[in-house]
Amino acid sequence: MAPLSEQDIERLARGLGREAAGRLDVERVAARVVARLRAPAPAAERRLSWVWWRAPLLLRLAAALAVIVGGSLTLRSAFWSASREPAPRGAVASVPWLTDLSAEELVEVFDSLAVDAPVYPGVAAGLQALDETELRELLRRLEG
Amino acid sequence: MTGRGPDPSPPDEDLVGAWRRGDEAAAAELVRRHARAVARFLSAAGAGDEVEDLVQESFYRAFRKIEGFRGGSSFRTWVLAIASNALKDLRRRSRRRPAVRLEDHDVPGAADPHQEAVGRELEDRLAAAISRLPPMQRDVFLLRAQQGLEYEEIARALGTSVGAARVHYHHALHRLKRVAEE
Repeated sequence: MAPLSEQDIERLARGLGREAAGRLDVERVAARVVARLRAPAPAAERRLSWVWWRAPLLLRLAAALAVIVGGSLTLRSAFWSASREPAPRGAVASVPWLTDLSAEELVEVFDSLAVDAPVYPGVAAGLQALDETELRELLRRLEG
Repeated sequence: MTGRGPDPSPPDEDLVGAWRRGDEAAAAELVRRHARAVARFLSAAGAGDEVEDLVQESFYRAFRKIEGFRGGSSFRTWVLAIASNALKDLRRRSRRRPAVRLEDHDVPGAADPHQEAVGRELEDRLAAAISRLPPMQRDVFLLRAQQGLEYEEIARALGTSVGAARVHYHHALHRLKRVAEE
């Protein structure tokens, strides 16, 4: 088959669908469209319409959600900043309830602070993979 | 004779305005004007036996959502974009490959039976290849090559940039050329 130029492809594309268009009963399509437009909108469309008209309510809900989420994030970041401020040497020892925690409890504490494991050198796994010594080392680093 | 009847061919914008005021005759006239172009587009995009239903669905959606038509493109281009979405929805629902009716593709002006057969085979392969293009490439290609639209109008209708529309068109063209030459 002879190679086709881009112009050949475009010319062929212009001819596509002519027969389908010729077979189309335009009057029938027009009548059916108008008949559907006269009929009440299907339930799904009415639901969408309800949602649309309730947009102010939805906007208020979205705004409230944004305030709650934003406030939580701000509080969390404030707490996180405070926890990263340099602490005097021996801070861990001055908070005995932290030193007394088991490995599992330490993991829970880190989870609540959204601390990930990579700060500990040579460890690529998650917090669950650290042993108690490594967790205490991580805690010491966080305490400064 | 001084009396003048109603304008026999009001522009589309006037008909759209009339439909917004609830004039069903205006909606029917818009269907008459553009239904065949939409059918050609859908057929070339691989709508197969669903062409008539999809044409109907496209105009129905267009009239129901007429408030969304802001006149950035022509009414026809807007309906073509809706038709493309209707076809995508149909395919999503039916989860099947596009049904290209090979006998749908006519060969323009071929007197020689051999030439006619070659032309028909080429058109069939081209139609099958078009229906397998990614939707955006397919739409841009058909709106440009088949419907003769400018890139600016295509970009507005499909919600993309002029530059991206050009890139889609050239990718589509190269892919179709490769398929046609295989």
